[in-house]
Amino acid sequence: MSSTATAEPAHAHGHHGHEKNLAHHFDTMEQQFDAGKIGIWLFLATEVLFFGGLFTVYSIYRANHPQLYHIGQYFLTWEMGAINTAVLIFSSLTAAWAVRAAQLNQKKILVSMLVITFLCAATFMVVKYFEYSHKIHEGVLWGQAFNPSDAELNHVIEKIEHKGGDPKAIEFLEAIKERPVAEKKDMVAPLQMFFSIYFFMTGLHGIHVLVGMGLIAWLIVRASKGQFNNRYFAPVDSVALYWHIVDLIWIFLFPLFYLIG
Amino acid sequence: MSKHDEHHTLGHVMPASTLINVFLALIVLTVVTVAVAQKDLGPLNVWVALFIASIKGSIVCAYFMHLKYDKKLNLLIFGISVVLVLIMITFTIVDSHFYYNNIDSYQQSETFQAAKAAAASSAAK
Repeated sequence: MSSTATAEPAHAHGHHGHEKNLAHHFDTMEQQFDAGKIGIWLFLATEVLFFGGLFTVYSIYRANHPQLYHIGQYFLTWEMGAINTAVLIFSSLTAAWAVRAAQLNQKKILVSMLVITFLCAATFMVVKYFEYSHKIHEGVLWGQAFNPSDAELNHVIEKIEHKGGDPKAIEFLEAIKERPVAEKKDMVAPLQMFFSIYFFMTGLHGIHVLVGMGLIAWLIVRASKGQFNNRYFAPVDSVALYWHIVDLIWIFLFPLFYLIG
Repeated sequence: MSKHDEHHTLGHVMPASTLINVFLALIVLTVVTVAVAQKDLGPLNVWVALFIASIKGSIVCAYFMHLKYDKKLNLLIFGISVVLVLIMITFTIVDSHFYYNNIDSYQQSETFQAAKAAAASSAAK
């Protein structure tokens, strides 16, 4: 340990009193910062693998039942997805700006950026709430629970007709109106699966947004106490990186579910 | 060494103009992906959407997530996870297509047709 240490770490130890955020097992702030970065990137890699499994399910299902994504897409309101995309991209900007503010010792800007990021996350969840509550109300649900109301089916048929009309899709939806839906297993099973995948992926993403809101709230408290500066802002940096991953996953979810049929 | 200067800021500070430009680029690409989706390109739909999403994702990684300026190790860790997911998706799709012949031949078999007819008649009762 100390026998292998050069003059540099000894120099850093001399500054221990000044660098109060330096953990004792690190020689320098730089080393501590870089080690923390590797840690958070390893975590982000597991997040990619985590969602990767679900993207695999999506891909297999899409490759084998392309027509169902075509119909499923009309049950979703792309305008809502687009608003949420813009909100998340903006929140990513403010999260990145928060890191910049911390690096420049701009406490007021740091706190404002974190608050804006938090508000964007809340907006995202409010839009999500409207989407989900509409689907729950109209019976557009996962698996066996998939039992859309006539009103919803008529609405979807109208949407398809408005877009130029796809006789096969309309015929399919008209057939679903003859209840009970669950007994038409051969027909609706893939659509049930579509909504299982939709709710699983967007739901898991939504949970990530909620976790992010908790973390950002914690940062707001710490930042307003003046606990971050240009030598110590790893929590801001790490949460911002996590938040960008949440944005990144939505960037893929939005076109895959809402836009392409 | 200036590296140990106490006032030295850790990490790379992203210029404000870069952040704003990246944000604008992401919004423009979102508009593009929505606009393109209004046209039915058939099987190309997915690939165009994925292509645009990948550009957006790369921009987020490079600038918002600082990967362009970070230690290359971080890029390597993240890159490996993305490559692993792509391998997983590709191989699973290829694998699932391998059994289509088996499914088709089973569905045309007498055993299956008889079972289907029996199920239909019991459902009718």
